[in-house]
Amino acid sequence: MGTKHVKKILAAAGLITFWQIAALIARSGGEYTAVLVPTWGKVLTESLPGFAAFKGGALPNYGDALYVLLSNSLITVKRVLIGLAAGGMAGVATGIIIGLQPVLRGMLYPIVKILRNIPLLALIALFLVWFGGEERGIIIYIAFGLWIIYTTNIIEAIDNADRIRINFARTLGATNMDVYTNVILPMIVPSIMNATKVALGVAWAIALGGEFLAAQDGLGRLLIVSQQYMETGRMLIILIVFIVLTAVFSWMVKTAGNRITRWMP
Amino acid sequence: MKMGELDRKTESGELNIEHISIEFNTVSGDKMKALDDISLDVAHGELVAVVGRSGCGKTTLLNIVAGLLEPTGGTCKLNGREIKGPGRERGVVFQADAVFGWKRVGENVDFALKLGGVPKEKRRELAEKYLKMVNLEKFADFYPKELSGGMRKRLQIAMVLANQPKLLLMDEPFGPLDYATKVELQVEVEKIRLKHPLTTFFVTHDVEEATFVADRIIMIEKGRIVEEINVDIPRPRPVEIRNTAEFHAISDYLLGKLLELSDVKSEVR
Repeated sequence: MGTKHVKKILAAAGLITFWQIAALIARSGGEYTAVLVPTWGKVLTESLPGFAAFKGGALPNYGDALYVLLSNSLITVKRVLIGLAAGGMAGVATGIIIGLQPVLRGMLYPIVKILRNIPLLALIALFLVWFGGEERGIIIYIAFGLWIIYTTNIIEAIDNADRIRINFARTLGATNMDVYTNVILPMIVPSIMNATKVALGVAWAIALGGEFLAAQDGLGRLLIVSQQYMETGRMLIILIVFIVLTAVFSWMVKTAGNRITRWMP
Repeated sequence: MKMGELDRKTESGELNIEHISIEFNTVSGDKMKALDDISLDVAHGELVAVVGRSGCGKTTLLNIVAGLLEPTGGTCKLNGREIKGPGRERGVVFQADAVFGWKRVGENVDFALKLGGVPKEKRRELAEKYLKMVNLEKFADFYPKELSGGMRKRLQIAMVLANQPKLLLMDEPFGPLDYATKVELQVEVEKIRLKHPLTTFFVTHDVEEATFVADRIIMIEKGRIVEEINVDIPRPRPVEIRNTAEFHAISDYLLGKLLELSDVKSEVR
């Protein structure tokens, strides 16, 4: 275990301790403040089994609680991944087309720039009206947000593509198609990986936003219901689930990215 | 003869540069003549070095011959055919690192052969042959980032040669390399050209490099040819010829001429 891991574990332990100290102070302040920052004991013995209530109003128990957390996590993960795949593929495709075709670029790039400047959360209401407040609306909304990220990243990557290598390929006899597929495309792969890192972060945020407003399930839904019942302990548990999920997916993207771009200096 | 045949002969070309001029727009909106009525012939198998200070127009001239830039006036012909756009009969070794970093060393040569229309089953053998020519045969499975700058330059040369060009264009090819590597690669070019006498247009600011590699040296200043001298040092030229009076007579003369052309005169007392 390297020092990096030791530091991370120490940081986590520090946060847990800090929370516990805050909770003890809150408990000494009376019943109301105790609810705001519950101790770890209360979180693990009362809040956690309480998630069972989401499974048809079951009484608190760990089995149903874990089922609720797991199934809702999978629902959110599914939305994020479908949105990422759809938005990513569409964004890479439009980015390449707009980036390489001067005429289309002149027409479409200004539109993309305007769309990019709209705060994504401002669009959610519109998407829910257009595509329904259910699964479809949320996924299309996530995909749209990520599509903009990918498109702008790819266009910029094409603009910054190394002219020397393009020229070298052309002097070796490459056709335009050879240059696109064998030179420009591999050169923008690192940008696609970087865009994916950014897009994944945004995807979690806007998936939650969509679930707050519209969904009947998912971690965002659990979070908003917990808020309505002042269940701070459950909110804390959902945050921890989120920390784990984002860490796992960031690690996967990072590992895949390192593998794919291992040729880079 | 069909393309892609192992035994295709490296037939070198003859380059005719006729009254080439090119103008650029400056930032202030004026026109600047980067090349002014340049005419120059490079014979079959000849190596002509073009020397000059930075900004004299030598790389611009090479880019026109490569087909990467269009002249405002004049024409360039290779074997009597007018040059339009880039083409694989004119291979370019660029100053910058131009090899494809995402491909392994062997795959880079394979890609060059593929662009040259060589069928897949013949590419492997040919790639090995050209890597061997530049002493990189042990590095076929390496990524370019794992090679030194000099080795990456060798790879670039192998890729260009694998394409069997009729004219070799070298644009300050060894500029960014350390001195010893540079001398080593100059000797390498000499060796390769002894076996395959390829017509070569070699741009450099280094007068010693020009003297070592060239049959003839052209000096350009402010877009015009200002000097032309023959290098009558016999080939093959071992690295020791750099110590001869004959060699220094030429390189010192060129350096003197370049200093003379300087806009800013500095004197050491």
